[in-house]
Amino acid sequence: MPRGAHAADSDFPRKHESKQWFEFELRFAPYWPNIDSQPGLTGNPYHTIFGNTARLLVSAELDVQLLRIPHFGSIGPGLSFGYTQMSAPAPLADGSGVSAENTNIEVYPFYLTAVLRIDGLLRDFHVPIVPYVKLGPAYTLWRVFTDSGTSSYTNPVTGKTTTGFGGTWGEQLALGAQLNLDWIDRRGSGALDEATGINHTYIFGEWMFVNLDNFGSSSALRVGTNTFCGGLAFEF
Amino acid sequence: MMRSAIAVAASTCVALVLTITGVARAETVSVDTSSITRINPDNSPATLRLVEGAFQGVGFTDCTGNTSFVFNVAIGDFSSTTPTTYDLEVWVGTGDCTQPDATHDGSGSCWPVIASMVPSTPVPITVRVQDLVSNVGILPPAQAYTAATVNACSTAQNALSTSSTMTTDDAGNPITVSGQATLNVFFMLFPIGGAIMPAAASPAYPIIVDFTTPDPASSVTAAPGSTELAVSWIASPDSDIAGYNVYSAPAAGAADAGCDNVINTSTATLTVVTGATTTTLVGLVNGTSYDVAVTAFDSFGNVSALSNVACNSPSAINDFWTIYEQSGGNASSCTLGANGAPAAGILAAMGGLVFLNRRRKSKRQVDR
Repeated sequence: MPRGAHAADSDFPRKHESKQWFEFELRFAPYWPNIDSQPGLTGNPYHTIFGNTARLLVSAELDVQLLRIPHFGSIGPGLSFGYTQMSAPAPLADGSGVSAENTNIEVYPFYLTAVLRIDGLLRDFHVPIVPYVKLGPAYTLWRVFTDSGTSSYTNPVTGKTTTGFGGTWGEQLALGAQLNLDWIDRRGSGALDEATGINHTYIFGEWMFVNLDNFGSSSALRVGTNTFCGGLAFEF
Repeated sequence: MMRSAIAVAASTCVALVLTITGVARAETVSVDTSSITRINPDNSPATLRLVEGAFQGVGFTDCTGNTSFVFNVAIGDFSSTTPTTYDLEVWVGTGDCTQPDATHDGSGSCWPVIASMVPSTPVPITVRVQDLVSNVGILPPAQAYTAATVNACSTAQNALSTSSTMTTDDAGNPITVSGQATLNVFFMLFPIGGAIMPAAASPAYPIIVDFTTPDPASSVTAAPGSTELAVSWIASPDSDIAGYNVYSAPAAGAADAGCDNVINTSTATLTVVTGATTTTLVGLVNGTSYDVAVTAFDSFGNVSALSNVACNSPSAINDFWTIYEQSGGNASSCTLGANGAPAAGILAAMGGLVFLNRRRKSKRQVDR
């Protein structure tokens, strides 16, 4: 079945639309890293410094709808990149309170995913819901820093110095659904396609499981998270 | 309203000619308003303050520091008879110094800042700020030039701060000034021989004088970080604050003896802050007490009194990385766990999927 063709005789989805190969997502998610879940940690260093307040993870994802399965959906690879940062006043070393200097973690998540989108409901039965599953490896760069730059720590016993910069591997799984917005203004969505090549527009919500522990290592900064993610998606 | 009108005149002033009925002359006087500079008494460049858009502003320290303006003046239709026919004079006042009763009639509203010089062209003319403000607050202004001293600065400051009657307008009515005064500078050719009317004059060049000391910043605090102090303060209530001087210095004594809440601004380290009421002083020594205080300054360079003096000591911090490592964190980017192989398998499968699809497409194209 050629791309862009439809089994149903209806103007929704449209009969005639431009070629569709990609999906771009703008993603927003509250972010709580699982740092304190690392085995062997005494106490909750992340919670101690940064508390329970979620940070906003902003990311963008580009999926390629490589294979189309007729009357079912599409499957293809996707690449996601995001950013978030946590800041909080650093405690004074003498324990007399907190300083005016912030301690910060910045996080750059990269996800390579296989995306299965089940849009047969939309295409064949006009149900504007597109469930999807994403699965793939994840890698997140992180940096711990203060006003003075990247943090470091010298173990007073071993003399070994570690630097607060690195990356953690892992895997991510996302289960979600997209709500097609074309029905709000069908003529408008057609005009958008003609003008820009954007075939469909969606809002979406998903639950995202990101397990970052260097694949089971006990010495990884666990900056993964399990969280809800929402945003806007554009197929083009 | 008057300032706006003057601004229009100043912006178009190059080579404008003032014609005075009954005086036959060909010369014109103009000022290159784009090349005005300021100098210190040692002829080094001084701060050129542009205020309210395009006006030259004069602050109290410009006066006490005896700075000067340098105007580049040109005389049009200059001839060999010009120097023998005219005196070149510079007058200043709040009104129009080209009026017949404004200068040499003995009771005018303007005062001379360059009494008399032989005309030449082009000619740079240096005008001292102290001379400019020498008759602010003096009524009627002196009609004979006397080199002003630094005392003129204080006299003018008092006149401006007390909303006093400073001078008269062209009709002889008193003008009361408050806070600021706009002085109009005129470069004029007077016929030699005691004429009270200029034969030619430049357009008015306005200079705004503001000697008002801003109110100081308040509630200065200095919070410690590692080798740094985060300084914050409550802004001066004045509306024309251009920035703040933040002074910092180790508390007195070779060994740290704690805070003394005294600061010498002439020896302290200065940090200039604009557009904010916070700054972070870095490069300090942990465990050493530092005194910190702030002054506010306006766009005329007028500086407020010193704020309260805050004092604190930079102190080592335990940032997240330290706490994490002390909690047994030992994060490593290079150590993969036992589940690395399945993950690599997923990645390989995805790569294979892409590869197979490309082969399938290529084969389809070949078949065609």
